[in-house]
Amino acid sequence: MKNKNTTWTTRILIFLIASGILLPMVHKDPYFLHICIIIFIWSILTFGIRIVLITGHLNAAQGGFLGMGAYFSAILTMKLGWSFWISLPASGLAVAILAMIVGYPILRVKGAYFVMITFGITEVFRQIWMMWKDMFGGPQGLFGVPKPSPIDIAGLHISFSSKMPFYYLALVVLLFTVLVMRRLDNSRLGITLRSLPQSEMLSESIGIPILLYKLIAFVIGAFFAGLAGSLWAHYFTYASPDDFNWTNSLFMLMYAVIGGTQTVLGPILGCMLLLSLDEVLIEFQEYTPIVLGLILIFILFYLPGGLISLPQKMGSLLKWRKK
Amino acid sequence: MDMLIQTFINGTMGSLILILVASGLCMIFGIMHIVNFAHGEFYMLGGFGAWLFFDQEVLPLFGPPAFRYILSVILTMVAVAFIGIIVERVLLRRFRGSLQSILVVTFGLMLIMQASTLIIFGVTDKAFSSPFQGYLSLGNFHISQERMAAIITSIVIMLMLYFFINKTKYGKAMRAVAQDAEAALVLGMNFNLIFSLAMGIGCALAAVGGALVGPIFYVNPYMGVAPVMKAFVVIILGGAGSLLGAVIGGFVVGMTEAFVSTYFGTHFAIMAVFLILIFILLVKPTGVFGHEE
Repeated sequence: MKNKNTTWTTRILIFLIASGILLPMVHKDPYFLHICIIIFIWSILTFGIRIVLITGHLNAAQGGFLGMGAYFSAILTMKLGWSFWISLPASGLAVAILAMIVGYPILRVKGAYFVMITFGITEVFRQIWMMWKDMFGGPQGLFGVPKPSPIDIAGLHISFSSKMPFYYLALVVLLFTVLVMRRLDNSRLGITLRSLPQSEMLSESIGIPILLYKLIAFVIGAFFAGLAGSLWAHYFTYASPDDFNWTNSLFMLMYAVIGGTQTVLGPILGCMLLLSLDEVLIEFQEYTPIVLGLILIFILFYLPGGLISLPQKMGSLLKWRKK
Repeated sequence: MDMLIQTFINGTMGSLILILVASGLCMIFGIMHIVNFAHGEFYMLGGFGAWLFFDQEVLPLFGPPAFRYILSVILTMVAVAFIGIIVERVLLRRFRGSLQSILVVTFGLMLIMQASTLIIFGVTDKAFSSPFQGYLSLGNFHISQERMAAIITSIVIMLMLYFFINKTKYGKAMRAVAQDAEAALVLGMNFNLIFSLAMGIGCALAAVGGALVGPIFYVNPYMGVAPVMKAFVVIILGGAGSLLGAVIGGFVVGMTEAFVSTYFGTHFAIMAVFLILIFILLVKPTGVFGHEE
C-alpha cells in the first residue's frame, strides 16, 4: 500500500514538474507567470513550515524569517553591492544561523506556548525593522531592490527584466526545495521527526536527542524561508515590514493543512489551489477571506488529512459501498 | 510628574481592558485548552455591538443616555456570548484536544468574521461618543469621564467574575475542570454545559472590553488583532487558567506598554511586551503562575 502511494506521489510530482517547465513555453501571458511565481515562492515557504509541523510544533516565526531573508538579501545587494546570485544563498544561510541562535533556547517550549513565543519573535523582528531606519528603512521598508543581475549560461544571455527568466529561477529553487524535502522525508531523520509528536518522552528515553532533531528541522525550515525571502525581495523589488507579519505564518499553515502534511505534494497542492482561487476571486476581493475560511473549516471537518488524502478517502468510501 | 500620573491613569485603563480580554481568553484556554485566535474578533463584535445598540439605535431603547449605554453594553455581552456558544458547539467542540486543528479553525473563523463585518459595516472607522462626557479634575491632572467609566465598569465586572468563579456552583465546577478534567469527568460533571458556559463567559468578557473601548477610540473590523496578541502575552505571563495570573499579567503588560510608549515610543512598547513574553517563557516554559500539565 505504502509503495503504491509513493509511486503515485512521484508520478504526480513528475507531471507537475514537467508541466511547470513546459507551460510557460505555450502560455506566455505575464499575468499567468506572475501568479505562478507567487505560487512557487509560497510553496517554498509552506515546505519550510511543514518540516517543523511534522514534529508537532507550529512555527509562527516563519513569517519573520521570510522577512529577515528579504531584508538580508536587499541589504546585501543594495548596501554592500553583492550580486544577487551570492546573496540568494547567503540570505538563506544567514536566516538559518539566526534560527539556530533563536531556536536553541525556544525549542524547549511546547504546544500553545511555542506558537506564542514564535509569534513574539515575528513581532519583535517587525518592530526592529520599523525602528532601525538606517538599516531597514523604517515603516516604509526598503525600495528599489535590484532585479537579479543578467547571467550567461552556455552562450545564452539571460536578463531578468521580464517575467519568464524569474519564473524559471523560482521553479529551480522550488525544485531544489522539493528534492531536499523528499530526501528528508524518506531519511532516518525524517522518520524520527515524524515520530516526535507521538511521544517526545519515549523518543528521549531511547536516546534520541530530541532538542537537536527539532533544531535541525527548525533551521532547515528557516533556511528555505530565507531563500523565499530573497526571491520575494528581488521579485517585488521592495521589502516592507507590513508584508512580513504573523498572519503570513498562519497562511502558510493554512496552505499546508489544506494540502496535507503527509507527503511533499501537500504544500504544493495547497498553494496552487488556494492562491489561484485568490486570483479567480479577485473581483470579489472582500469575499475571499470568507471563502478561504469556509474551505479551511470544510477540509478540517471532512478531510483532516488534507487534499492529498482525497483519493484514499474516496477509495475507502468505495470499498465500504461494495461491502 | 504630571506626565507620570497621566501615564499611570492611561495605563490603568489599558491594563483593565486588557485584563477583561485576557481573562476571557484565559477561561477558554484554561478550561477547554483552546487557543482561540478569533478571540479578538469577539472583542471587535463587542465594539460593533455597542455602536449598533447605542449609537445607531437598532433597538428602541429608552431612558437617559447613561442608562441606554449600560443597557447596550449588557445586550452586547449577551449577544456575543450567544454567538460564542454557537461557535463552540458547531466548530470547536469536535476538535477538542487537537492543538493544530483548533489553531487552524480559529484562524479560519477569524478570517470569516473580519471579512463579514467588513462587508456588512464597511471599512471606515466608526467613531461615536459615550454619554459620559467631560473631565474629572483632581488637582493638577485630568481624566475623562469616559475612561473613568471604563475603569469602574471593568473593575465591577472583574469582581463579578471573581464572585462567580469562587462562590457559585458552576464557577466551582469550571475550576474543577480546569484543574483536572479527567477527575471532573469521573465525578459526572456535564462537560458540554461547562464548555458552553466557559466559551460564553469568555466571549462576553472580550465583548465588554470592545464595547468599553469603542467610544474612547473607534470601531473597525480589524480592531481585535492588536489586543488579542497582548492578551496572549498576558495569559502566558499569568499561566494558563489562572485568573489571578491574568490580572497581574494584565497590569504588567498594560503598564509596560503605557510607560514605554510614553517615554520611548510605540515601537519600543510592542517590542518590550514581546521581549517580556520571550524572556518569561525561556525562564519558566509554563508561565509564571502556571503548573506542569
